[in-house]
Amino acid sequence: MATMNTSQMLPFTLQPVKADNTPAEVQVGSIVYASSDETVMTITGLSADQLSGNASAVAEGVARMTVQADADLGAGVVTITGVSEDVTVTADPANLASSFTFTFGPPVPKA
Amino acid sequence: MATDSISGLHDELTAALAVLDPQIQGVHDLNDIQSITPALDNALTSAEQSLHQRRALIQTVLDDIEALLRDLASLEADGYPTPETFPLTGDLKDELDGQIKDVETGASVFTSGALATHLEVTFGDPVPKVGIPIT
Repeated sequence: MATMNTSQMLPFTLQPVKADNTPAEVQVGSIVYASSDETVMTITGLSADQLSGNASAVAEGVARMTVQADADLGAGVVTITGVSEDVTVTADPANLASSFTFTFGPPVPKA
Repeated sequence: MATDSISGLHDELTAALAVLDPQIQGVHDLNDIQSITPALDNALTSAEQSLHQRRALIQTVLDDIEALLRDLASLEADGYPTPETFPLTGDLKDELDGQIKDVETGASVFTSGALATHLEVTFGDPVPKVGIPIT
């Protein structure tokens, strides 16, 4: 499981793979990404070849990325899919309380 | 059969001709009367022309139908609609089978390029979001 806080993003790379686990290619421009929960994480900054980008935190929670592409390099369409590991987004520690401040008012008579 | 409806149309048009011919003759005869006025003469002439035109069109269709029926008869005489087959003697059939086997063997050396079957996503280490000041 990957983790980031709300002020961070996770760079990612995408690799199409054949059945024998060797690298392959997919149809240029056919890759489509989606976040399982865009209130937690969005996909940003895709490269021109769509094979890398960023999973950008939005708010605390857990989300995963899904991706699909056309594996047929010719005129046909063979849709393949992929799912990332879960990404947990935590609060930015910089935004958490780190100390207490006490403030006294003016003295008043005891009841 | 389709030829039944074609023959029916042929009969219908032949009957129409049988009605038209005496009409044309009658209008023609009327037009030969010397004492009719020029206006009636014009009306009769116009009618006769229209009837001749109708007759010519019907005759054209009849001629086409008769040509079609002749062509259909030739097609049926050729064996249609039974699909054609071409028997080969034993040696020639063996040669053909051998050629087919060679072609299939030759084609078998080609394989389809393996396609990607799935997509793998790999995350790097978290980095500050662009535009978010580091505190």
